[in-house]
Amino acid sequence: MISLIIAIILAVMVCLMLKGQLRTAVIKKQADTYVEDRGIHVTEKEDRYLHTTVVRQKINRGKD
Amino acid sequence: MATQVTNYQCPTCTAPLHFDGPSGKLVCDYCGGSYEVAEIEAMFAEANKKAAQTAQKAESEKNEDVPEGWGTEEGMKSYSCPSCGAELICDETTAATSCPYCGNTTVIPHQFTGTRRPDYVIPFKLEKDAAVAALKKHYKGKFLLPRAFMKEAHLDEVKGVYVPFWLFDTKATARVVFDATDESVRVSGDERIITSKHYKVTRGGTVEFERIPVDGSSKMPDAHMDSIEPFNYEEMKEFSMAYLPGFLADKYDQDEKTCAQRVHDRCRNSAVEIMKDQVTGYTSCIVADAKVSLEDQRVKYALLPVWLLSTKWKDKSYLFAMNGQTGKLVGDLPVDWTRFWLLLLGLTVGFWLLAGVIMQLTS
Repeated sequence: MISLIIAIILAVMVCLMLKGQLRTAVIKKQADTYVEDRGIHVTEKEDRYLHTTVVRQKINRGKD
Repeated sequence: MATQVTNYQCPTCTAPLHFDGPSGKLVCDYCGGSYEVAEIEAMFAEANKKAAQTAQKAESEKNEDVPEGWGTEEGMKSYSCPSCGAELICDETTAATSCPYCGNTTVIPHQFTGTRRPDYVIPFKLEKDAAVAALKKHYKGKFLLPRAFMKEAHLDEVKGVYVPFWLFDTKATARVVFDATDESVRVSGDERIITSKHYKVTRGGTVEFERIPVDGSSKMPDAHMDSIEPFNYEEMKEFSMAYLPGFLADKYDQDEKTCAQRVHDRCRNSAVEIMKDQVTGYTSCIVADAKVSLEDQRVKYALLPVWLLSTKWKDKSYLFAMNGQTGKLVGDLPVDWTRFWLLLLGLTVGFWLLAGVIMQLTS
């Protein structure tokens, strides 16, 4: 059953990729092409540590 | 009789002149003469000035005599062809066209006077043949394109249009806060231990965008105009009407304020992405808060070259646009749904069998 689901997902992905080839006129969402090399100035950089979380997962060494 | 339009005619034989992209000159198909843009510009400067003045005079007279809304019928305007006297019916934004009767290339200088004068123009570099060839190439290698479309769809129209574009220089000031995690996994005995260190990461700064194009014509589909980007601005010239003969040209009907929203959305998205690129060394990074302020520092008006090709198939029209400078062609194509579903079924069965074989081999 799992193999059938994987097969359907892969087949849908391939078909949608091929269908996507037919749609080439799309509204642009980005403008990064128009940023000059010296057009980016980063003036603020802050990395603040908040907390740590630990998740423990049992490894099932038997058959899957 | 004073006329509102100018015909660009060959100084030697008076046949129509047209701008030839590959040579960058105005050429006459009849006598073979070719002329530099500057030469023709100087030759027709006086005619253009007179035409613009006549149009201005006609407009002011119309405003005095005719009640508002009566001057232009359904957004159309009519001009008289100076060569054959035929009536040219155009959109009120048309700035260059050709006479359907005598074929003379016609420019309407009044559309480019005062504040409506474009700052720049990128001349056409590619000819009509290149556009037709690019469309045929566009059909190739597309498995889901109906085969009948390739055979039956016929080209209705191919036209070279100088499309009015606004070029925005915009500065974005951004401050973006991210939720970032640094994750490590280790195995201890029969346990997998996932340790996640959580951070609040802030990046701020400015991003300067230069000459983002946005079309100022409501007649042009935005998706097509966006998709044929980018244009090579190094080949951009100071505007001259001498680049227009032989092509259609429109004046903008959406001003820069109307078009600014589209540019701002793109700048905002890119500014956030650029700030995200500055965050490194984490396993994951999600935008938690973004504040972007935008300032348009300069807006210029340019005419950019676009080939528009329209085809018809099963009573439906398909529009394609090609960048008249770089040759990039875009346009949506129909889907062969029978092929789509058959392919989906075939691939599903194929992948299922493959997965079965792999599972048998590994077990």
